[in-house]
Amino acid sequence: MRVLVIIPAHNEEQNLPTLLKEIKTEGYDAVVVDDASTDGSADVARAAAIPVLSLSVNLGIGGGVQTGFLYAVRRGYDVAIQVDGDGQHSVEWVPAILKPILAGEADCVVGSRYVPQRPDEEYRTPFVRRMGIYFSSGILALFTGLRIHDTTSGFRALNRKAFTFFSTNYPVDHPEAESLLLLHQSGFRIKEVPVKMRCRTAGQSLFTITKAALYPLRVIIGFSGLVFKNPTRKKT
Amino acid sequence: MTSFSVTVRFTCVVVLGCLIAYTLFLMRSNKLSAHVTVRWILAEGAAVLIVFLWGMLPFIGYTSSLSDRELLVVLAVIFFCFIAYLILDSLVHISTHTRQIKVLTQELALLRESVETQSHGQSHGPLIEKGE
Repeated sequence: MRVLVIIPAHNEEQNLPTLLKEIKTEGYDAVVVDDASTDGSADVARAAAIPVLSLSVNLGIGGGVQTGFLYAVRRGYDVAIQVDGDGQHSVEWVPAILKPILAGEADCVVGSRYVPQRPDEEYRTPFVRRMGIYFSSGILALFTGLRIHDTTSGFRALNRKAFTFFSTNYPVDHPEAESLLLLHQSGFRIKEVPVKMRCRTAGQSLFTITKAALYPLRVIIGFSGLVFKNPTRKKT
Repeated sequence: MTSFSVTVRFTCVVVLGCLIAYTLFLMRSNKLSAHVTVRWILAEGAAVLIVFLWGMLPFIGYTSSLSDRELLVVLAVIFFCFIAYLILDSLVHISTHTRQIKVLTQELALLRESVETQSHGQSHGPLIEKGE
């Protein structure tokens, strides 16, 4: 079973070294998707002997992650693990999100900080982000009946069928919640498992106050678009 | 009915003529694609025609029963819909090009990585060609 860790990164020069060291120590294959960084993110990854997909123009998190999925498809990987380049996701939790995939219980597993039975009480979520998560979780439940408590988590594992599907169909703007709706609509099984995350140590989150204010509108428009589009299942 | 005086008609034609000239300038200087230019020239040509045929068109005849303020509202709504249609049409082109740029950027990144890997004699697994 070949597992690839996909790390989308935009100006994460300071956070990448620790994350890449952890990944190398655990022995996973990895690829860094450098989303037109203006710092030395790509150089840091190359110095760690990790392959780098350098995007010439900034595609945002959606386009970046999708490039990683394309790489996984073409290199014949069986499982893709999505890990944020800001170092919030600890590699020690990879086996936890990998387990349901390997057991054939799910096509996509979301690492969650807010599973009611085992919430990550040490993690401090900024208020605006918390509101955004409540909103998108509620909308997702309304549209699908699916209860995912950490819809904005970028810590995910996908089997080959799911990431092959995403390599041709992946939302662009705030894709985390929309991608869950897309998977559910297309008949893929989604599971949420509790994990612990770290707080960002360097750099700034892209989820600013302005973006947070527009987030509900974007989620509603994005979800409405997907519901009207109603894609047919393209499992391969 | 509101009728155009020669001065008003002349002013409208001059303004629209300038707009057509500017549209053509944008196309000639490669700032506007030919597809988009054709649509806008057609729209501007239609506006010039309306100015010339103002008194003859049946629709304009219907407006003779309206007061000046009502006529302005009707014209403003029609004008808005027309401009909105043209802008949406242009946005479709922009969206198509955005999607194409995204695909090209992704393919370029994958190709670069593949070349880098080969030049360093490394292997990160078999490369499966697109479409296989």
